[in-house]
Amino acid sequence: MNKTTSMKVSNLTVSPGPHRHSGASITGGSYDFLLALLPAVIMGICYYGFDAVRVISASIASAMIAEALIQKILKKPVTIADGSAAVSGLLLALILPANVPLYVIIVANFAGIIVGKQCFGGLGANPLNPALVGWAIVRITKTWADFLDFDLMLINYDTGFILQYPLAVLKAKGPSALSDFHLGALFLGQQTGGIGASAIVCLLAGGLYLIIRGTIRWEIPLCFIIGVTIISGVFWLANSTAYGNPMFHLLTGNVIIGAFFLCTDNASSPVNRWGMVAFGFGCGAMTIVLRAWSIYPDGVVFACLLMSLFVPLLDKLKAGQIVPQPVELPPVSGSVEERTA
Amino acid sequence: MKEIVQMIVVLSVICTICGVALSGFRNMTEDRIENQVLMNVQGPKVKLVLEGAENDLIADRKKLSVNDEQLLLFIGKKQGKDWAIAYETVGQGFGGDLKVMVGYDIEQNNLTGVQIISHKETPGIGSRVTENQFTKRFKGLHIDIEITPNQCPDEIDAISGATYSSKGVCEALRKSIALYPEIRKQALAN
Amino acid sequence: MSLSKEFTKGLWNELPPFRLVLGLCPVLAVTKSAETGLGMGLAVIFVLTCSNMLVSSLRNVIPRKVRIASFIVIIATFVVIVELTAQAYFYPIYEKLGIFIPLIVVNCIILGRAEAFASRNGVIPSALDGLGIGTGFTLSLTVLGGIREILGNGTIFGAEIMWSSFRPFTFMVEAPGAFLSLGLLLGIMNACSKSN
Repeated sequence: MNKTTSMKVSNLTVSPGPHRHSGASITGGSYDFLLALLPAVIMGICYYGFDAVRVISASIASAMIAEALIQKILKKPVTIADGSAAVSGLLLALILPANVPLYVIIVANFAGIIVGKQCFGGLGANPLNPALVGWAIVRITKTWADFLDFDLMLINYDTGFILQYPLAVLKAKGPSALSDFHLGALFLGQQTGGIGASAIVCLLAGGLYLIIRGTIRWEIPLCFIIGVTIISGVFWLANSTAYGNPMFHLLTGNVIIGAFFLCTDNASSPVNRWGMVAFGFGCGAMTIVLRAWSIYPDGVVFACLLMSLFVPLLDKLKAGQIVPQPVELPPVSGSVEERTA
Repeated sequence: MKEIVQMIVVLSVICTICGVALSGFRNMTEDRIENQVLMNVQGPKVKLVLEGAENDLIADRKKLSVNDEQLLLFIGKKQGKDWAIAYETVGQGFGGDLKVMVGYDIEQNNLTGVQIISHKETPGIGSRVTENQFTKRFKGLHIDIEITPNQCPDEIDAISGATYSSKGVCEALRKSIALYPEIRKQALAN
Repeated sequence: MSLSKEFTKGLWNELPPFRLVLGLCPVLAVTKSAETGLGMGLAVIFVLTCSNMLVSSLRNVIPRKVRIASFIVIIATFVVIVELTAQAYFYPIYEKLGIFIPLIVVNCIILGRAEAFASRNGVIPSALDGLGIGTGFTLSLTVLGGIREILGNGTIFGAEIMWSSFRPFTFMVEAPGAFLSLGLLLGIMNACSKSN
């Protein structure tokens, strides 16, 4: 907010946070995200072929249609060109198995965009990441949860690597059964998992690109990874026959895509540095706690959702914060409608 | 003073009228409700416990008094002859009373089946005692089986994670077996 | 206000769950299927109409200071009658509604109508008011229950209506589905009445 707008109170529109400006526009940020995810998309298509193309395109299309539709119904300006819906759709597709039925993708995206985003007021006002809301709704639906079970869904593919979801193996048989999984192969993306979520090296490259461009801030990914490492290290040191080692936890499931892409969503993460540090660490720690003690093999999505609910609280952590300058407003009269009309 | 008297009188009259109306209504519906509960709650379970009986189990029920306690006895018949009896006892589960129906073959003196009528166990954990997986373990046990109070006999494996609930069922079974000779005598006498 | 208006206001203008946003506890809890929604609604119609009539006919006798106690006694009596009747004649639905039949006593719609309407109006308007509000409540519960049952179970009033390969979206019959569908319906109704 600068001085010229504060003088003209009649034109003042108060929009929800965040107000941090990286120099880029929303549109630029979204296309940066899409570009950064491109390597992971290509790797997913290499492994799963046309099925991956089908899921990704259906997901992006249904997210954009959902956004356009709800904005038309609510008589708001249609903003699908800013790419934020496309990013949600793509992120959702990348954490799904490659042969999810079409209607599941559509329901997840519509639920994510309409309930998770537009009901709260659209881009910037959503307290949760729409892609994660969509995923979570499918996951807690008992009859549909199988669609997210990689072991069941991907059984008929020939990808050249072990067709078992590493985290499901860890959950079912404990760390002693993990000797088949080599850390190098996991790092190169040769593991069963979401279309793009398993392409660790590509996601790391994309994530670094986004940090360098300033689209995302480095605090959240770094603290997420530190959180995962420390907490899984504690579990591992306490009982290495029951819990996996930290490197294994870092390189499997949704940790990397979560750290760089899922929980760095601007609207559902804190705006100041210490808030981001706490948020990232909390996500990482919660992920490991959920992996160790919940019924789900992976906990990244639920960890991000839970921590996103703490964002209003974390935004109050003051140390090192970029304090918005208070602006002196002249006293105004009349109702809100009159002023904004 | 007058106001207080009025308040007391009005409220008492309303309460009295409501109370009388309700007790009258309750008397009217009592038999029917008892019947409905028998048909819908105990009926299906009794059928499972006395599987193979050829008579109408609900219609052929009897009221007995054993050790000064009222008890509902279900009698199963095969080819017109009394074949088995079933009645309910209560054990203490993790969350409260566990009502257990046990059926006995009166010739062989062994168990035809065990079913849980009602329980207050934790859903998904203790409530697993109601599943066939657990209840079928009792089928065919002889009444001579030794059960220490609040323990499961060696023949029955408690459900892991639901030990209290399993022990509650076994405790109800122990009470049931303790009553069996007396009830069998009465059942045969009629 | 004419008598017919006393009845029709409950169907839209003062539709309990969506307009007055009252009585949400049973709305969320018993709308797993259209059948339970309808059963709950019918129970509420009976209790509401009877208690409204009785409260309004006794309105000049009951001292103001004990009116709430008297209303509750009257309402509780009718609720117990409904409970016993349901138990004796409609046992399966009684089992599904469970604790929510006795909880009609503390449903704020009923006490609200007794306090706000029946204690100030004649017997016939009060009966119509109760009937109207109750009908509106029943319709809302049945519609909400119907939506949740179709999506969450693939049936309506127990009859299969979806195609055979339909995999039910059980999210809708669980608690989050109740909140979500109630919220969306509320939003749609607000949008409708705004555009009128």
